[in-house]
This record gives sequence, C-alpha cells and structure tokens, in this order.
Amino acid sequence: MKRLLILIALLLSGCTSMIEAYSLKYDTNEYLLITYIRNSAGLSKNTCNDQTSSKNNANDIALKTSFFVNFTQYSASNSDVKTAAIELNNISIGLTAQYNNGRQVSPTFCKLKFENIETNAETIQKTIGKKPK
Amino acid sequence: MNIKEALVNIDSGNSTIIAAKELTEKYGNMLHEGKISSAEFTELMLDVQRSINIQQHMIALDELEKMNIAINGIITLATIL
Repeated sequence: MKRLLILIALLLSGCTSMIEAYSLKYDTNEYLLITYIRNSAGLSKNTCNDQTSSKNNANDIALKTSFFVNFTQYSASNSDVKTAAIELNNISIGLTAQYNNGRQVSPTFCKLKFENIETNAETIQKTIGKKPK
Repeated sequence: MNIKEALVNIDSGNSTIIAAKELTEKYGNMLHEGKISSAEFTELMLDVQRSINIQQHMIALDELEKMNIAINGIITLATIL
C-alpha cells in the first residue's frame, strides 16, 4: 500500500525523470545487440587493408546498428538509449557512405571509424549493463 | 584559422571534452600528414560530435540508474516503517 502511495505521489508530482528512473529495466536483448555491435567493430578494424572485406564489414555493421535503432525505437522510458542508438547508426552510415560513393577509402580512416563504433558501443554497453535487473 | 588555433580556448576539466579535443588534434595531424583525405577528416569530426552526444546521454542514463537505486531504497524503507 505504501509502495503504491509513493508511486502515486511520484506521478502526481509530475516529476518525469523520477518516473523514468523508476521504470528503468535491464533488457537482455538490448545488451546482446550492443555487444554484437561492439564485437563486430572490434574484429572488423583488423581487415581494413582489404577494400572488399572492409566494405562488406561496413555494410554489415550498418545493418546491425540500424537494427539496434529499430529495436529501441518504441521501448518505453528509454529515450537516452534511443538517441545513442541513432548516433551510433550515424557513425556506421558515415563509413558505408564513403565506400558507396565510389571513393577510395584509406585503411586509416576505415580503422578509425570501426574504432569509433567500438568505443561508443562499449560506452553504451557499460551504461545499459547497469540497468536494474 | 588552423586546428590548433581553433582549440586554443578549449580548456575544460570535463573528460568528454578533453577526449574530443585530443581526437580532433589527432585527426588534424593525420590530415596534415596525408593519412586521411579532407572528406574523411570531415566525417571523423562529425563522429566527435556524435560521440559527445552519446556520452552525454549515457551520463544522463547513469544518473537515472542511480536515482532508481535511491527510489527503491526509499520504497523499501517506507515498507519497513
């Protein structure tokens, strides 16, 4: 009963961040997806000397980040992860765009882009891993 | 204006800003050395902005997670009292 009264008090106070905080929940699938992205980026950065492989890897990671955006799109009380997913997808699209524009992509750029995806995926993974279980 | 001049006034203790400044300098040096093209440099600078945005949202989520722990603690206390 007291628990219910506290929740009603939170709702009536109009404190949306308090409600959002209370609604946070760890999602195994969300954590799995970001781990896949981080892992793929980590492996892909080692193949940047081969244009064909790296182009395929770039397209593959863009599919994964796009899937992550769609996965988080309609989940409730998850606005920060949604925004992070969109930005991570933008980083991936920026890499595929360089390949798909028919430009010669330098191995250094390819490596840096995969590193950016890996680092940012790890940042997201670290935070969503702490969501209450 | 070159990259070093553009960054001269950025003197923040914020770890996200420090990391962004270091990356900008690193990318600038790579452009100068011809390791990346100007189009690639531009794309990497957009990544710096995107990374800052991701960091900010993950810091906000981290705060919410801490608040969640506090709320649950308060609820537990209220249940006991």
